[in-house]
Amino acid sequence: MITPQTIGDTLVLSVNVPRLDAALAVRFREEVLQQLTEEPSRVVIDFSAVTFLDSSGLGALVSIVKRVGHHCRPVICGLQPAVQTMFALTRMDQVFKVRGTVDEAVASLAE
Amino acid sequence: MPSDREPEAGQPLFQTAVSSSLENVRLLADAACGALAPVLGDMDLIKVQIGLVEAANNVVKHACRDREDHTLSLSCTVSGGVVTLVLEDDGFPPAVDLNRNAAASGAGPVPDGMAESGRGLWLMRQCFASIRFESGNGLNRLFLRFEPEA
Repeated sequence: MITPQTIGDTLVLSVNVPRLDAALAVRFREEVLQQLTEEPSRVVIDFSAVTFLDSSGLGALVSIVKRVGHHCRPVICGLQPAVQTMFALTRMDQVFKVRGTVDEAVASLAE
Repeated sequence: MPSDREPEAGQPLFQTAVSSSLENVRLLADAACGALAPVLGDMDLIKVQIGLVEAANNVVKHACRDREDHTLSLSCTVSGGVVTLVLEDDGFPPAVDLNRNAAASGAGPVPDGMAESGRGLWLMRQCFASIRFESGNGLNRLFLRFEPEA
């Protein structure tokens, strides 16, 4: 479900499922946390392959942030329209730093 | 926006049923979005999908208690451009008054951004104009009324 890659000193985690919903939220959380065991300080989560996110997927994302701590709160990128709407409705676009592309997200962490 | 493909008032646009699992909620959402695509705009379809998935997730978790031996049925009617989705299950009746919770004026304050759960009903209220619940004869029915953006 998660494909990791490193760009410079940033860990980019790409989510490879079309729907991140209640059926997959727990697995998503566990797979992301597995990638964060070495506590990288710069993390991007790329949602460009995700066309739908429900509140359980959102809850898993919040749970990840709580687990790793605010010092490495991930930057989110690649939001498709339905996912962007979910972020806007729940004001999560004010909780997370959201960028359009992986490159923009990585660059924002270097600022 | 209503289209030429809107069916007769009261006639279901579609009906479908699945066993009660979280994996199957996406099948209900896909069926609804596929059938409503000629009737609603993109943003309206997104809101219907978000609200319906939250409603169905709650039914699976609470009424069906994550057991797959219950059945979730979804039907949809369109009348005058207004969409009514009816989500029916043969699970347990709710312990709380869903009509009182659902009918509260407005959706209420935005849930805490750092909350890990508790957004479902709030999102349903955000997406649907009204929510009504009925229970009897071993069946629970949730009526979700969607009014498209003008």
